[in-house]
Amino acid sequence: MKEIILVKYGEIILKGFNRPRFEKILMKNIYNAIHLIDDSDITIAQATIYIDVKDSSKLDLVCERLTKIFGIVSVTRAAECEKDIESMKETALRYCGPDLKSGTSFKVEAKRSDKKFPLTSQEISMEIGGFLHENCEGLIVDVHNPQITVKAEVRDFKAYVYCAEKKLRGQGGMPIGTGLKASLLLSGGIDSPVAGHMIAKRGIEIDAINFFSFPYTSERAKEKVLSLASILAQYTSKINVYIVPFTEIQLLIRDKCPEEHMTLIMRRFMMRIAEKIARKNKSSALITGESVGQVASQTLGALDVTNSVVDMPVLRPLIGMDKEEIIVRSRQIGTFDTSILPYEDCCTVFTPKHPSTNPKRASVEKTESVLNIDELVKKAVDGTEMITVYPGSHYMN
Amino acid sequence: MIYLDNASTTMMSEASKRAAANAMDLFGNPSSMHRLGIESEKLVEASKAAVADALSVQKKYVFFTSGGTEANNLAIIGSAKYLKKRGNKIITTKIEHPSVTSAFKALEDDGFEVSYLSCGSDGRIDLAELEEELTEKTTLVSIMAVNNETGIIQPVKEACGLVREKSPLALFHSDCVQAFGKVDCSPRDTGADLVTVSAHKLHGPKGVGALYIKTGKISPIIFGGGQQNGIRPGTENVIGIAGFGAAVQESYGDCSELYDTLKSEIEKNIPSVKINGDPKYASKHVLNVSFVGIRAEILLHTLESSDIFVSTGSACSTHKPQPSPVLTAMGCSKKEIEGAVRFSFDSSLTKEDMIFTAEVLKKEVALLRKYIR
Repeated sequence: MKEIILVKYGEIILKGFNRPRFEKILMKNIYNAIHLIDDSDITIAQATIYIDVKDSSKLDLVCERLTKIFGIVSVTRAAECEKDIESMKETALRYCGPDLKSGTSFKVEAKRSDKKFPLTSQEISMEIGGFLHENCEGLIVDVHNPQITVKAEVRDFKAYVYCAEKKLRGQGGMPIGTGLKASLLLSGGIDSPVAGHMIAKRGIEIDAINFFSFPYTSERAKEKVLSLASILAQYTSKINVYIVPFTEIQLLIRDKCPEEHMTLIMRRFMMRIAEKIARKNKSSALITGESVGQVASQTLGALDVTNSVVDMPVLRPLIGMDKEEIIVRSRQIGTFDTSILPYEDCCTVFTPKHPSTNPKRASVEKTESVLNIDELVKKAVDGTEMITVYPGSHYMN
Repeated sequence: MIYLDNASTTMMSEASKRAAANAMDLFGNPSSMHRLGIESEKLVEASKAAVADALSVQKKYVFFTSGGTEANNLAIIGSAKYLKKRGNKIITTKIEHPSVTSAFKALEDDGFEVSYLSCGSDGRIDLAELEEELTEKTTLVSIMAVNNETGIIQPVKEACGLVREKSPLALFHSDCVQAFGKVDCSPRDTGADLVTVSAHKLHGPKGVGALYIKTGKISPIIFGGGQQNGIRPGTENVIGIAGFGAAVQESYGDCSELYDTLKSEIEKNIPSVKINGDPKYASKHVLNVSFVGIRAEILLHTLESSDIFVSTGSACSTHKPQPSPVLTAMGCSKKEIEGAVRFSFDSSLTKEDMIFTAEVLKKEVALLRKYIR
């Protein structure tokens, strides 16, 4: 009995002229995610991608990878058989039998996209249902609330049978590569990896930018950021992380600017540097993990002050979320346990005791003007180091 | 590179590496009856003899473990359990290594009555307090020989004497991981019944230690195939044990000049510093200094950029503050604890290294103090 993986995709079906291009991108992303595991054949027909895994011991692993690819709505393992009703009956019994025997009620839902098939969908359901009923003792048919739903699909060349309950949910969203690229300001915290995941889910490729303040933060803090990027890379296949040397700027701010503006001026520098790095690497937007009102530097007034230094869209997908909601997502995508490791990131070392919560653009502009901004930004951008991170390439726990 | 973190771990010596590498060719199980087993067994026994020699004790009292932590656990849990019928009062100090403190905490959860002896600002425990705590019901006392954070030598011999006098039935354990090979901690001299030592603090490999057990009054804490009289079963770590045996035969060397130089250079050149623990009692392998007003972890990373490696008395992360229990017990202030750095020496370092280290410290401390509130 041959087992195959059926992948269903959602939103891109709705696209008009772009649909074939988007499907091609999705197939390429699937290939990139699984080709090192198995030399599978990947084909597409009738809004379904068929993955024929050569080494059946790799089926679970391939399925797990597929559930992390954006654009995929569901991943199902199914048995493939010839397009005749007898063979479909036998296959349904052999493939779904063990599950049916553990349940008490079932139904069969058949679908034929090949309208030349001699039986209608209704007839196929009845034939297979009757056969299963005869062969599984004690099992009753319940079309409204079945414990187990056996699905049978008659397609162009073959028929497929599977248990609906075993279908795995995919990420949804759009395949990466269908949008442009954006640069994520990635700290070691909980929020920014979630923000990156949300934007990547919309088909946007992401780079990451991290501000590093050695010796005020340790090598371990950098490893932590790379580990977070490596978890995100499970969804995006790889991420380029730009590590910006930030110590000098922080010390100068600490030395020359008023304490209540310290964080804001620091964030303005981060935005300026991030925009320069983003433009250099053909990114079209910045992504931050800001959520309005979460901390002093994320009030509306503060957002105005930090936003005003850049001239490119700043995506803030977490803007209306509570911390609790962000934590739930962080757990779902798998970054939470790494995010809460204790190594300090640069935002927590230079924290003022009483930061200004309602800052004005003009007054911050005035207090930071003692610094040679352009030169400092240029120096930081020039000193930036790039590290490419892959799934599993960095791990810390 | 100036490696000043030898109390955390040391580099393996050439002799120790060679012995461990040679042992890789002997693959026999020391418990096997055939000659391949006997070859391995001989090697294990030779190392045991070397460790016993270094402790001036008989070989039959030495049991290999996976390291200091396991040896401390075996000594404490094993003897407290064995003597449970006789009494449930046990004593240790507030300045022990976590592998001792945690074992006592576990026994406390099991219903034992534990006293934790306090410590003076000189870094030493108070013998009068020990005397007060000792009763006839006391079954176990554990006091370390040299403190791992401050390097202060504890009055183990005197403490053991008191125990013999006031609680003749009690066992006396001493964690000698930091003392072994550096200051005399032989049970022949101190009178201890149980002594913990570890290989990797004296240029041996990690993952191997030993427990000296004078009396048979101990229950095993892990169970297996009867190796080492069933007290510590499990096939012996032959490679590690071979490296351990070679390491204990070498002298660790005298570090007092290094200690004196670094201490006086720091005191001379850097304001607002405090030497933790009374130098009168220093083992001179460890120097603990508080740079008041600085967060030690940041200083650690700064020194790292100059290829100088030290450790801090406590982790200073804002997410998880864990002030050092040792410095807390000594009555140090919060600022002193936050700024505490541990320098631990090795005789391959030079006086010039210490002068250079003090110069770097002087420069970096001044710079950091400018920025940190």
